[in-house]
Amino acid sequence: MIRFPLKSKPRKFKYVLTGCGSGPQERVDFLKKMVTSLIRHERIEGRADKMHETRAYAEQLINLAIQHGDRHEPTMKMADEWLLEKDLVHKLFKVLAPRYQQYATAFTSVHLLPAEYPGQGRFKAVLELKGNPYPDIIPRERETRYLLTNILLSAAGRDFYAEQNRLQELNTKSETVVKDSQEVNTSYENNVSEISIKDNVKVASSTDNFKESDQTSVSK
Amino acid sequence: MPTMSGLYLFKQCPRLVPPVIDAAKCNIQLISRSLYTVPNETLEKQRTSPLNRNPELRKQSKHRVLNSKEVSEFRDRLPEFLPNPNPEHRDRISEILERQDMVNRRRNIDIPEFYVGSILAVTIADKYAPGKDGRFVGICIHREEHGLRHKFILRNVIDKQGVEIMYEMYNPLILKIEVLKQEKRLDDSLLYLRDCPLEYSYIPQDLKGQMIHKGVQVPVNKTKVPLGPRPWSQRWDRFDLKGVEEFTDWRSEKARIRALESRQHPQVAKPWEKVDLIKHYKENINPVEAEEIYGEVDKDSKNWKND
Amino acid sequence: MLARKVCELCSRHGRTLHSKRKDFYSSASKKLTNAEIRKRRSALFTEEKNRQIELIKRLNKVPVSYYGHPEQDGPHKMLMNSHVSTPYHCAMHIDEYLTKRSIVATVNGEPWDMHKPFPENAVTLEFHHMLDEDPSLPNQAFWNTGSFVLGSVIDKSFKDNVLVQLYDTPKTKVEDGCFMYDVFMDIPDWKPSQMELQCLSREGGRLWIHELEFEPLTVGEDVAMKMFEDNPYKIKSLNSMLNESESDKLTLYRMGDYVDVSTGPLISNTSQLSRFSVTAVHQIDCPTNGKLYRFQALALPRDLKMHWWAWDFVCRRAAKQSKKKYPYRSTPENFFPNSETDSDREKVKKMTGSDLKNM
Repeated sequence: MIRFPLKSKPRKFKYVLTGCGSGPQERVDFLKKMVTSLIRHERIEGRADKMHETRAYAEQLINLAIQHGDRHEPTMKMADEWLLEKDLVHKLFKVLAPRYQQYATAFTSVHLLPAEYPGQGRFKAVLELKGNPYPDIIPRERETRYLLTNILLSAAGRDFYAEQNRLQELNTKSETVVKDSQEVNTSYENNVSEISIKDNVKVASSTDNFKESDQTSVSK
Repeated sequence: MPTMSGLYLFKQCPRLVPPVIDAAKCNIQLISRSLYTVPNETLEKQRTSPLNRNPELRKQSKHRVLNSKEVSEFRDRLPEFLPNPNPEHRDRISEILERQDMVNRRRNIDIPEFYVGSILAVTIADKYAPGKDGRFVGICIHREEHGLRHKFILRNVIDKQGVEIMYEMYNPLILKIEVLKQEKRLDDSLLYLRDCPLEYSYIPQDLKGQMIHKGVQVPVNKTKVPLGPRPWSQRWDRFDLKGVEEFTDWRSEKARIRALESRQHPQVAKPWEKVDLIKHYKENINPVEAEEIYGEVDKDSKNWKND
Repeated sequence: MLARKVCELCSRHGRTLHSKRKDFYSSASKKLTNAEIRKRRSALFTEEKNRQIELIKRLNKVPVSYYGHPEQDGPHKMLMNSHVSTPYHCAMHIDEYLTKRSIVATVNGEPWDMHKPFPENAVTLEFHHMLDEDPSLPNQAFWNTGSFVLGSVIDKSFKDNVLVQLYDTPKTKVEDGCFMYDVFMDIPDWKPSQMELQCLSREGGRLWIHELEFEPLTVGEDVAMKMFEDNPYKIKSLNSMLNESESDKLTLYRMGDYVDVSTGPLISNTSQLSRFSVTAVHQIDCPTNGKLYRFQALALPRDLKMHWWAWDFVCRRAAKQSKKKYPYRSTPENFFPNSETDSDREKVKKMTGSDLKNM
C-alpha cells in the first residue's frame, strides 16, 4: 500500500528528458533512471515534480519486493526492468525489503529545498529512502525532557494540579454536604474524616465530638 | 393543521422548510460525485474520534488476518466484493452498505462460485411464465461491474440463433443459480464467441449438472476456438487472446501484414504500460484494503447458504 | 553589608534561644565546636590520603581509551598512572572545556568520580555532563552532591554553642523535588525564620566562587570510625552502611575542609553549582534516634538556567513536608517512621537494586 497521496493523473514530462524526445516511453525510461539512482545513492536531488513521481514508483517497487520476495518470477522481471544496474536487484531484495518489512509509514520522504532567486518558478526537492546512512535532513531534536530543571518543573506541576483537583473535589463535596441544613447531621456522621475548605464549616473528628454549637456554625 | 401550500409554510417558518419551492423549476446540475463525497481520511478521523457521541470501536469484531495467498484466492472466487478502483468513483459508505446487502443476499440464496467459461443454469422469477419461473442454461462469457451491480452474461444458441442474457448477480428475482460445469478458459472474457461459429456456443438446455467438489482446483479448458469470417464485433486480432486460433482467412496478404504491423505499433502495443507500476497499482485494489474487505467477507461466509 | 546584618540577626536569634541552655554547654568543658571537629576531620583525611599515596612504591601505567567529544580528533588513547591519575587529568590532556563541563565520568561502564584515581587494568572512559542526551547519571550525581553540600552548609552555619551532629541523608530522586539531610541538634522546637533560611542558602550559594573540588577517598572501617567518633549518630549510619555493602570500605569526600561519607559519585567541582536554596526545616520523630531536624534544600547546576518565578515555584514545593517515607542512604532496609508493610519493603528492595537510577 502506498502511504502518501497519489495524483489522479500521471505527470507528463513535456520536454526533452533523455535526449531522445518526449512521450510515455521516454517518461518511463526517465523514471527507471531516477529509481535506479535512488536505490543506489539512497538520496537524490532534482526537480520537485520529478521527485514526487519517482517516489511513487520506487515505493511500489519496494512494496512488490516485500510482498512477493525474490522467488516470484513476475516481481523479479519487474525489478530487472526497473533497475538498470543489475547489482541493485540484489540490494532491493536483500537489503531494502528486510529494512522496510515492518514499516507502517512510507519508505521514502521528500523535502522541498529553498527556492533559488530569480529562478524559473520551479522548485527543487530531495528524495531519500528512510533509514539511509547520511545525516538527517531535518535534524532530530534533542530530548530535553530528562534534564534536571525539566524533571523538577514537571514534577512540581503535576503536584500542583493534583492538589488543585483534590481541592476542587472537596469543594464540590462540601457544597453538597452543606446545602441542606437538615441533612447536616447524617452527612457528618457518614463523612467523618473529611476536611472542608470553607472557614465557616467546622469538621467533626468523630461523632462523639460533634456538638450542637458546631451545627449552628455549619448551618450558616 | 389545515393543508397549506409549501409556499405559505416557507413564508411562515423559513428555517423549517427548505427554500426549494418548486423542485421541477430548479435547475438540476450534474455535479461530480467526488465533490460531495467525504474523503476517507476525514470520515475515519470522525468515526474513531473520542468526541464522537456514538463512538464505535475501530474494529468491532476482528476478523482473521488473511495471508496474501488467501487474498488472491478470494479475488479469484469473489471478485464482485472489491470496489471500483477509480478513486473518483469511490464512496466508502456506499461500499460498506452494499457489502452488507450482498452478504445478506448470500445468506438467503446460494450464489455459487463460477468463472468465465463455466456452464450455468439460472432460474429467475417470471410472473408471466406458467410455473412463475424461467430457466436458462448458458456458458458464462463475461463478468463485470462491482458490488451489487455485478453482472454476468450467459450465452447459448437457441433455434440456430445466438442468445445472450445478462443477469445481475444480486437481483432478488433470481431464484437459483446452478453451476452445471465448473471450468475456466484461457481468457478472462469470451465475448469473441459472438464472432465464432455457433457450435462453439451451443449448450443443451437439459444438460445435467456435474458434481462439483469444493477445494479442488478448477480445471482449465484449453480449447482454442476458431474465429468466424470478418466483419467482427471487435478487432479480435488486436486483443491478446489465448483461447483463439490464429486467424488465417485474410482478405489479402497486404491486409494481413497491415494488421500485424498495426498490432505491433507502439501506440497500440504500448509497451510502457506493461512496466507501469503505478498504473497497475491504481487499476487494482491494493492488497491491504483487499485483505480488510475479504477478512470481513470470510468471517461472514460461515452464515452463507450452501446448497 | 546586608549579608552581615542577616548573619547578626541569625546569631542573635541563636543567642536568645540558647540563653536557657548556657549551663548545659558550660559544664561540658571538653565539648568541641563544629569548626574544631571539621579541622580535625580534614587533618585526618589529609593524613590518610598521604598514607595511601606513600603505599604506592611504583607508578604503573594504565591505558585509557576515551571516545567522545571532540570526535574529530579521533579516539584518544592515553597512558596514565594507575592509582594516581584521575579522569580529570585525562580531560586536562584533551580539552579545557571537558574539565569545566564534565560532572561525572564512566570508567568501564561504572559511574566514577572525576577526581577518583584509575584502577590497575585498562579502562574505557566517558564523560557526562548535565546537558547529555541521557542525563540520568549526572542528575543523580548532582542530587547526591546536593545533600552533601547541604551537610556542609549546616555544619558551618551554626554558632559554636550549637553542636551539629549530622545523621544521614534520605534517598531522594530529582522528582521528589528536594534533597534532605537529617541532623541532630540539641535545640528544642526550632522553627527557622525566613531570614535564617536565607542565611543558610547564602552559605551554599557562595560555594561556586571558591571552586572547591570534591576529593574522594576510599577508607577502611577503622579510619572512618575514628573520624566520626564524636558523632554517635554518624557512627550508627556508618555501621549500617558497612553491613549493607559487600566490601568493608567506605568512600569519604572532602570539599574544602568539610569531610563526609557518601554513596555514589559526586560532581567534580563547586564551580558547577549555581543556585542553592535551603527551603525548609522540619522536625521529625525517629523511633531509633529521637527527634531530628530534616533540612530540605534545592540546588541548580551552573549549566541549566531557570527563570526566577519557576525557581520560586519549585522552592515552594521543596519546602513542603512530604508524607512519603524515604529510606536512608546507608540503611535501605529499615527506614523510618515505622513502616512494617511488605509493599513498602518491596519498593525499597527495588530501589536499592544494582541499577544506579534507583539510587
